[in-house]
Amino acid sequence: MNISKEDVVKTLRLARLEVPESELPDLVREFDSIVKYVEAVAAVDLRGVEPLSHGGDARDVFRDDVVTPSLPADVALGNAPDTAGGCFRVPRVIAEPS
Amino acid sequence: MSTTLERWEPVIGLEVHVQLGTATKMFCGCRNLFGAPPNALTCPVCLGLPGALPVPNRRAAELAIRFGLAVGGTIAEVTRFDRKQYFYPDLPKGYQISQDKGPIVTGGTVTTSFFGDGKTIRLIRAHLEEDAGKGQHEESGGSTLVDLNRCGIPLLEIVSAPDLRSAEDAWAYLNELRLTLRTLDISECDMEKGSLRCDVNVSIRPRGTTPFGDRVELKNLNSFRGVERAIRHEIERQAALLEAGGKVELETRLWDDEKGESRLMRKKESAPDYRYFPDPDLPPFAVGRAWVDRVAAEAPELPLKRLERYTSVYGLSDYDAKVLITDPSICRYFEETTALCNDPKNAANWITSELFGLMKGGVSIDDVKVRPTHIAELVALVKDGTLNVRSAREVLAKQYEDPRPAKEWVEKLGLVQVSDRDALVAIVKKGMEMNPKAVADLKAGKEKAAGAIVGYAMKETKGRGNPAILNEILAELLKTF
Repeated sequence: MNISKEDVVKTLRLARLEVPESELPDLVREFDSIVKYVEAVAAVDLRGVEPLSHGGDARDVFRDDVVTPSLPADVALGNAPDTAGGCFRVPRVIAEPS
Repeated sequence: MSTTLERWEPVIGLEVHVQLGTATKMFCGCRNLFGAPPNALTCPVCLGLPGALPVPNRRAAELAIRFGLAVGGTIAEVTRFDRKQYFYPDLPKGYQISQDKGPIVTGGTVTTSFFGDGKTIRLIRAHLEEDAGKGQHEESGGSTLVDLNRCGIPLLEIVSAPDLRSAEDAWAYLNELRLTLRTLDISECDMEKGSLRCDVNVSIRPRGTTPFGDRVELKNLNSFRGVERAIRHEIERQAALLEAGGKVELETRLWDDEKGESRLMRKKESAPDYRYFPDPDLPPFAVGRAWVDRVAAEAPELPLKRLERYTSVYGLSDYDAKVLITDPSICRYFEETTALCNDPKNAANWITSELFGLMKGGVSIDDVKVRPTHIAELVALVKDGTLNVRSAREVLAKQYEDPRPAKEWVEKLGLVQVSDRDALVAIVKKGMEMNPKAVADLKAGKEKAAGAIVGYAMKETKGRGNPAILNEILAELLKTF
């Protein structure tokens, strides 16, 4: 698969990242190289092999529905660059109406 | 000119999200609670801090299984969690833990037995996921304030097949679903508190044809009646488009209930690409037979089972039984009363006719001062002849304001029923002497004429005469009068 400029722009948009137009060609090349690298795996014959979703053997890990202490609100907000009225204050993001 | 609905058949499917009634969140031990001060209920897991690891809440899985069993769905033998990635400030991890492939419940049905015409609607799936936080856009200055208390509260998303054919169907389905969820203590399903939310998919096709039309998703629906209104409006909007030679676009629209119209939120081309993949932090889990059996054994009775019990064992009318069952808090109140007085029929009557008569303006039965102990006491006092129904009503009205025990009110108001035969015989005799015409009518077989004499006796006893004994005495005296 060849990565196009459109693929990169779409990925940036999904991640809400802003990148200057001038850096796009480099990113296209790098994305492409990463995808090609991973594509090498596709050459392996996997017929009859169950897809792996987890590396470990852990199964059925649960906790009981018991309350544990939460962080005090000022601690929870402690690392926030901006707060107001006990809330995190962030730049407004709107679902784009295209 | 035919109506829109004569020309077009709507095809509707619903996605309902309900918050599960657990004590804690889906993947951490923070409290699952509505209305706390902002960001008072968070921890590194639900804040999405690096390195924090989620551990699923067993109770949430059990409530999902309980739902699956109630609707006759298939419980997955092995199920797992996936990451659904999207960028929004109310989702600090940058992804929501959900179930994409292999939801915990597949299939099942909901039948509109209490609120509709008994139609059966198929479910496609129900899966576990976590709620997002709450963002509020600031009036001025382009910022959003984020409260993460809600972030991580367990949700069950219930997806119906496109089996609904009208706005009324959708309303009935939602009510029926809510009844099941509330009766089974799975969720409070309070739309105002956001513990039930619903998105609707609507398409229309010419009557008599089978292929589905292009569908539109409606969001921002805040009440069941709002859902109905939004669907009606969308049917008309699509019909107008198609009849003017246009086409329906695959899109998501936001409903504005105040304006009674919807506006475009996004078109299909800009629909988010969620890039699901299995969450490596959460191993798959198996739902063995033993677990399912245990959940089944501890599940409360289903509404239809309850209806059957109320009508056949308790002897209630279908109507009364449904009035009680359709509101789980009233139902609980009724069950408690019945357990205390062991007289379901009278308990039901006192609650649905007398107590409801006093409750005005949307008061919840949970807030009424008269408790099941009060009703049970009144039922017993009427039964043992201490009070007649009229006096018991008077006591109930007093208790509604001041819930002291009935016996205190009876004493205070001097309401003990007069059942002293000799005293009543004298009064009835006098009543007969004063109403010769009533006596003649009675002798001629006009039973209604008894009213004048019994009425007199009630007046003489200040409403405290035992009506059964009064009627008995009257019948006896008539023979010799």
